[in-house]
Amino acid sequence: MTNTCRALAAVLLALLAGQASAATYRVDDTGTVVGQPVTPMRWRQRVPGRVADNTVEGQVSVALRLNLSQWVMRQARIYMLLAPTENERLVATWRTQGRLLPGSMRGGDRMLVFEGVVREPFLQETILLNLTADGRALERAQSLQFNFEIEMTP
Amino acid sequence: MKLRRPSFEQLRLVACLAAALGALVPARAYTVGITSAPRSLYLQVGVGNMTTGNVNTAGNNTTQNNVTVTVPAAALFTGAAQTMSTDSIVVNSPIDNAAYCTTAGQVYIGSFFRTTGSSNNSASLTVTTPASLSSGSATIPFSTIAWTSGTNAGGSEIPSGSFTSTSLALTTVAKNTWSESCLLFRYTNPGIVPGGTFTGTATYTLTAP
Repeated sequence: MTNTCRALAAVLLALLAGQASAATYRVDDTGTVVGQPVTPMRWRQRVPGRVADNTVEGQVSVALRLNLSQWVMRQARIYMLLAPTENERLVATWRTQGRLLPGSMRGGDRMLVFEGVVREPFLQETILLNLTADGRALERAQSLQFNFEIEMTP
Repeated sequence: MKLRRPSFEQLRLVACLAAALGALVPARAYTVGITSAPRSLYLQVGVGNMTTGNVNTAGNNTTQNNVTVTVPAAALFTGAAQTMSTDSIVVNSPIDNAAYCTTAGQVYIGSFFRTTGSSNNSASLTVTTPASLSSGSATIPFSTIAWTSGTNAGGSEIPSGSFTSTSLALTTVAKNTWSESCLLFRYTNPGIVPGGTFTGTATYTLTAP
């Protein structure tokens, strides 16, 4: 895009992205690959104990590819969001290889995973997601929807 | 009608707008599909296969334990109940290895029903027997066998009773918890019976909805 075009795009984005968060945009994660289409949740205790632990857990790796080409050399914060889940006790914890911050979240949360200057047009990182939930409340298959937002910082 | 070709500047503006608006199209989210945990049932009557550890693991065990009694001559026709002994060696709870069925002759019965769901469902423990114990053509009613329920630890979920029916409901097993009992069997020695070695099999069944 030319400079004029970039300016126009920036103006439009600023106008349409919302007044409350004037410089927050959804990040395109096209190319992100989830390690397995379905993650089977398993009882932490297959056999109940004297004190029952009804936690179920599952792990999956996710190869992220975030398109940050519009914000190269800009100071930014990137957040990972998890859409509200049916099981309110579901917790997603993730480890990273260092390009993003590790953390933990529940459905409806928005957690900081990056803060700094965007150096490259594509941020690629593999995270290991560990999912835990109350097995009694997880009766059927669900889809957990994660996405990313970027926020420009002055 | 006269068509007018758009100028280069107009085309560039359209391209810019398209590019700018393209950036506003909601970006896709990555999705992680999850499934619920599997259900499982476990029932142990006498000897079972439970490995007690940091996380217990269950397996199959085909052992069929026996409870037996030899009625001494002095007790014949007296009506004095005769406590039965067992070849089951299970004394400790397989949950945590705590002492549980410490009275000699007690048979350990433990079960659990692992399941998802918030509904208050439970499994049912039943026992079936033939009508009689047999020795050749001679028989003794199975109802002459009774049991007393109780444990070293206090709780024993199957109530005391006897084989009054060929199919008995013993207890319900709440989901995701253990049900444990220790049963001490006895022959009620009710009266005159023919001589012989009388046998019969009681089959315990755990059923989940």
